[in-house]
Amino acid sequence: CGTSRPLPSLPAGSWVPSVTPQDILYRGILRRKLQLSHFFVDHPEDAFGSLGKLLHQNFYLGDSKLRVSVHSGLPPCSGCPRKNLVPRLRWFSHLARDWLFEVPLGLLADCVHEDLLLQWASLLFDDSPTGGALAWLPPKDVGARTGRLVYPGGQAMNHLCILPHGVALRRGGGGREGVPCCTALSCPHLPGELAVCTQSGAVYLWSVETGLQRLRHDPQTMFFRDHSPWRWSDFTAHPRVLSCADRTGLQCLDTRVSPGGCHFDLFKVGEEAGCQQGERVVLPMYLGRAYPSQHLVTTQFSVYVLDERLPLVPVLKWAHMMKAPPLFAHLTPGGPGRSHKVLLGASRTQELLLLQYRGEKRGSACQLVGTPQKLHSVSSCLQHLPAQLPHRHRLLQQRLSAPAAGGCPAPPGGLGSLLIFQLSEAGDVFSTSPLEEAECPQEPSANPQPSPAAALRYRRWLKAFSKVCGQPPRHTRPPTFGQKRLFTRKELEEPSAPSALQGQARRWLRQAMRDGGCLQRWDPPPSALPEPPEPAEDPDPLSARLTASWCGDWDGWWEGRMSSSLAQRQRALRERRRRQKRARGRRSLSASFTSSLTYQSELSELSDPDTAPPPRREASPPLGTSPPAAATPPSPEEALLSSQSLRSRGIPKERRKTLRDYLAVWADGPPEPPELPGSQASQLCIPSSQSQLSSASQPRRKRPRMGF
Amino acid sequence: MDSFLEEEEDDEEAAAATKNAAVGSALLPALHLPSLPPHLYQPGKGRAVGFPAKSKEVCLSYIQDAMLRKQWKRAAEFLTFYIESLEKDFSTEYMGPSEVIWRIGAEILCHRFHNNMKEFSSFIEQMKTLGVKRYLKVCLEHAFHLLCNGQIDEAYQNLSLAESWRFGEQTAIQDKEMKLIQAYRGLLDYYSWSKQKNILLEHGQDGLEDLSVEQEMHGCFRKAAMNLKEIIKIPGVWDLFVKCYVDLLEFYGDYSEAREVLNEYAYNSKFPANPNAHVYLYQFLKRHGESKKSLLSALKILHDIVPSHELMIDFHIMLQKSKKRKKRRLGLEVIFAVLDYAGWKENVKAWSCLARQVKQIVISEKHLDWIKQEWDPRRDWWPAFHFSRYSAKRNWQENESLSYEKALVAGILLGKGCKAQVKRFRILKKFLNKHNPVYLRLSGLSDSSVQP
Repeated sequence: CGTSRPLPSLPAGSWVPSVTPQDILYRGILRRKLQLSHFFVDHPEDAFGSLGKLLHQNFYLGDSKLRVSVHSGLPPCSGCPRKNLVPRLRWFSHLARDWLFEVPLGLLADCVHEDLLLQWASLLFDDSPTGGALAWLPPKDVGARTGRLVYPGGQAMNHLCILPHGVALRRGGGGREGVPCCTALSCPHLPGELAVCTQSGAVYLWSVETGLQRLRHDPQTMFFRDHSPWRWSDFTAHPRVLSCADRTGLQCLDTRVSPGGCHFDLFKVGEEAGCQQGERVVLPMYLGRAYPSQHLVTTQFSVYVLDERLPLVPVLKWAHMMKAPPLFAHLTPGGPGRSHKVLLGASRTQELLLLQYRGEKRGSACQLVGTPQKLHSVSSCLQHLPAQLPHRHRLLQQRLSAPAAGGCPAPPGGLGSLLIFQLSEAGDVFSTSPLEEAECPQEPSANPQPSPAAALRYRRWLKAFSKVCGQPPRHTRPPTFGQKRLFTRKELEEPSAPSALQGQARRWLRQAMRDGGCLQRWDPPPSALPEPPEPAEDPDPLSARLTASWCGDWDGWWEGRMSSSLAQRQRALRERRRRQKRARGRRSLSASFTSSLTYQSELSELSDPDTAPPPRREASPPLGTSPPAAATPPSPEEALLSSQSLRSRGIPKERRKTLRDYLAVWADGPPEPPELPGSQASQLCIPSSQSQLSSASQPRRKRPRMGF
Repeated sequence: MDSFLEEEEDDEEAAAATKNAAVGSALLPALHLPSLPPHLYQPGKGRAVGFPAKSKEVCLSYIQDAMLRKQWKRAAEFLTFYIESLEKDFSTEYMGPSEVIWRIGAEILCHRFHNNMKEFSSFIEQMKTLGVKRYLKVCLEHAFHLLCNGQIDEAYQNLSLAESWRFGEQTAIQDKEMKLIQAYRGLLDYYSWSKQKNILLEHGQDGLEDLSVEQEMHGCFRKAAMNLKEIIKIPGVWDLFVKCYVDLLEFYGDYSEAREVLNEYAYNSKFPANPNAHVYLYQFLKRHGESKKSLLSALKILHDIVPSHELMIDFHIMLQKSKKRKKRRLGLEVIFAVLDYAGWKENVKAWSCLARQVKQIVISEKHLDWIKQEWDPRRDWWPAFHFSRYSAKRNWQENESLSYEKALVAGILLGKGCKAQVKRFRILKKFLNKHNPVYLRLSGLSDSSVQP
C-alpha cells in the first residue's frame, strides 16, 4: 500500500514560497512608539545603508583599512538569528531602498494598501491556477508506451517542460496555459484554432490563417453583477460555436454571425440549476471527449454536467464538499460503454477527487458511478520522509504543502493503471495511482512504511531538496552600488571642452549665485523642463508645507494656512488687486521672475516699500479681515512677535521661538531686485483666483529663501 | 489585527479539537487520525474548551476524508463520535447536523453493510423523526433506495405513508416535495398498471378474462393518471412522467387529452426549452398517422432547437421525398447542419444522405446554388474538420463505406483539393472528372467560359 502516497517524479528544484497570511498580518503587539524610536538601533542598515553605500566613495577615511565593529553600543540580537528573518521583506528592501523614499508617502501608502488588498484577496481565493498548468499528452501511436507530461517551469514559469519517462527536456519560450482570465484553449475539432478571452470581457476566436475574430465584448458580467474580472472560454460540439463564461454563468456564442448576434445561455447561476446563494462558477470544461454535447461546470459547492441540447437545466448535479473550490478538472474518457473519469483538483488545499460518471446511454440518465475517491495529497508524503531537524522539517513541510498548480491523469493505455500526476507551485511533480489505493485495506496503519523503491525515490528527492535548501539564498548579501555603477563611463567622462551653451549656463549660474537669486532662464527654456507631478486635490498639511518651503513659498503657504477660508482669501486678494492698480509701475520683488503668477507676486507686492512703510518687513501677511495695509499701518513688530499674537494665530508654543528667530533673520531683507518695465510688472501682478489655487502646483518659485 | 487575533483563537480551538479527537480515539478502539490539515500544525496553547463548533467541523472533515477513501468503518466511528458530541452540545442550531447525520449515515450504511435493508430502514425511520422539515425528503430518498433494491411494494407503502403525512402549515418547498412524492407514487401505479395490462393481454390471447385484474388495472390507471397529471402542470423537465401519462391516455383512447398534454409540454414558454418534448410530440403524431405536414412542422421546431438531433436524419429523408423545391432545399440545409457537429463526424448514414442529395443535384445540374450557399460559410473550416489527410487515412482504415461517401462529397466540394479522399475510388474519380465544372462553379471561380 506504500505506493498509494504520491511519489516524486522529478528532483526538487528551487522555489520562492508565495505569500502567507503571516506575511500580511502582523504577529504580536505593535508598540509603535517604542519600535520606531529604536528603529535606528534595530535596523541600522535600513536606516543608513543606502546613503552610506552611495557616499562612501567620497569620504576619505584614512589609509588604514576600515574596521567595523558590529556590537558597538548596539544590543545583541536575542534568540535565533534566523527567527526574525523574513527573506521576502529583505529582498524587497534591497531592491527598493534606494528609490523608495522618493515616492510621496501618501501615494506609496495607497499603493501598498491596494496591493495588500489584492494579496489578501488572492489568499482567500486565488483564481490564477484555474484550469491547471499540467497536461498529459497521449502517445501519438495508440500502442506506444510513452506519453508526455507538459507543465511550466523555470523561475518565471517561462519554460515549457516536457517530461517523457522521467527525463525533463527544457524547451524555451513556452507559455502558461490558463493564465488568469486570459485563457487560450486550443480547439478539439480543428487544428490551429484557439479560443481566447481577456479580463475585459472580450472573447476571440483565433486561427492561424485568419487571426483574431472578436465574438463578444462586454465588460459587464452576463447574468447579474459580479465584481470578478475572471473570464473563460472553451469550445462546444459545434466547431463554430464557442462558450464563454464568467462567475455568473456560461453562454454559447456563434462565430458565424456578427458579434452579439446569436448566442444562447448554457448555464446560469440561479434557480434553474438550484444554486445556493453566493454560488459562483469556478471552472467550466467541455466534455467533448466523453459526450460531444456535454459540459462540466464546477462551483465552490457543486459539480454540474450540462447538455448543450437542453441548456440551463443541469443533467447532473453533485455537491463535492471540497474545502477549496475545484480549480482544475481533467477528463479521462472511458471508451464506449464504460464510465468516464473526471479528476477535480483544488489548489490551496491540494485536494484531488476522482469521480466516475456515465451519461446519456439510450434511456438512462446521466449519473455518477460508484463513490468518488479522494487521492492522497502531496503534503501527506511528509510521513514517509525520514525525520529531519526541526527547521529543515519546517522547510520541508512548507515545500510539500505548497498549493497545487495542476493535476492530470495519464490514461491507463500503456502504463497499466491510471496514474495521476500532481504539480505543486514549488514545481514538484508527484505521481500517485488511485487504483492501487483502492486495493488498500480499509484501515490504514498509522504510518505505513513505503516500499523500498518508493523510499529510494523519496530519499533522492529529499537529497535534491536539501541541496537546494542548503544553498544560501542568492539575495542575502545586499547589492552594492557605487556611483560608477549608476552612470556609464561615457556619462562620467569629462567633456573635452565646454560648449558655448554650457559656458553660458555657467555664467548665468555664477551670476545667480553672486546675486543670491534664482536662475530661471535656462536654455532650453523652462517649458522644456519636466512638469512636476500634479499633487492630489487635498495634500496633507505636512507635504503642502514641505512643498511650499521647498519652492520658497513658505509664507504663501502660511498665509493660506492662516486665512480661515477661501472666500476670505479671495476678498483679501481683490483688495490687494485694487491697490495694485493704484500703485501701477512700482518696483516689485517679482520683477526679475518670468514665470507665471503666484502668491509670491502678491507677497512681494505686500513687501513693497510703498505699501509697507515700516523699515522691517512684515513676514506674516495680514489676515483677510484686516483693513488694507495702505489705509492703516501694520502693527509694530513687537506686537506681531508677542506671544499673545502668535498664540492667536494658532502657532504652537514650541514653534514661537523658531518663528521669532526666523523673522529676525528675515527682517534683514534680501537685496532689492532690479526694476521692471511698468507694463510687465502690471501684467505680472494681476493675480487671479486660479493662479492662487494652483500656486501649489507651480513649484518653480522665485527666490531661494531660508527653510521653514 | 483583530482578524489575526481571531485567527489565533481559531488555531487554539482547532488545537483543542485535535486534543478532543485524540481523547475520542482513546475511547474508541483503533482509531487513526488522518493527516492533519496544515493549519493545525502550528502548536497552540490548547486550553481546555468544551466542544466548540470548529471541532465539529474538523470531525466532519475526518468523516468526509474517510468516506472518500472508502474507509467505511473509520467513517462510522467518527460519525458515532460526532453524534455523541452533538448530544453534549446544547446549542440551538440543530437543523444542520441532522441532515448531515442522515446523509452520511445513509451513505455509510449502504456501503458498509452492502445494502442490508433492515438496518438501513431502521436508521432512516430514526432520521424521519429527527427533523420535521426534512421528513418528505427523507421519505422520497428512502423510496428511491428501496426501488434500487427491487423492493417496489415497500417503496409504494413508504410513499403512500408520506403522502398522508401532515404537519402544521405546508411551506412552498413542502408543497413541491409533496407533489414529487405523489408523482412518484403515480409512477409506481403506472408500473403496476402496465404489469397488469401485460397479464391481461397475455390472458386475452388465451381467451381468458380476469375481471378482478381488469378492475385493479383500471384502479391503478385512475390513481396514476391523477397524480401524474398534477406534476406536469408545474414548469419543469418531467420527461418520465409525461411519457407515462401519455401512454395511459393513449391506451384508453383519450388522444385529444394526450395531444394537449404533449403540446403544452412542448410549447408552453414557462417550461424549459426541452427538445424531448418535441420528440415525444413527433412520435405521438407519427403513431397516430398524422399528416406529413404536421410531422414536418414538429421536426422543423426540433431542428431549430437542436440541429444535431438524431431525428434530423428522418427529417432530411422526409424532406428529400417531398416534391416541393423549398422542402428539398431545407433538407440539404438540415443535413449540412447535422454534419457540422462533432458527434456526427463519422456517421455513415448522415454522410450517405448528404452524398446522395449532392450527387442528385450535380447530375441534374439544377440548384447548384443550393450547394454553393451551404458550402460558402463552411468553406473555411470543413476541409480541416472533415477532409484532412489524417481523417481520410483513418476513415479508410476503419470504415470503407464512410470513406467512400465522404470522398464523393469532398470531390464535389473541393474539386482537385481532395486527392487524399478520392485516390482509392476509381469510378468516383471518373464521375468527378466528368463533373469538374461543378466544382469550379461552387468555388466561385466560374465565369461565362466554363459554364456548361
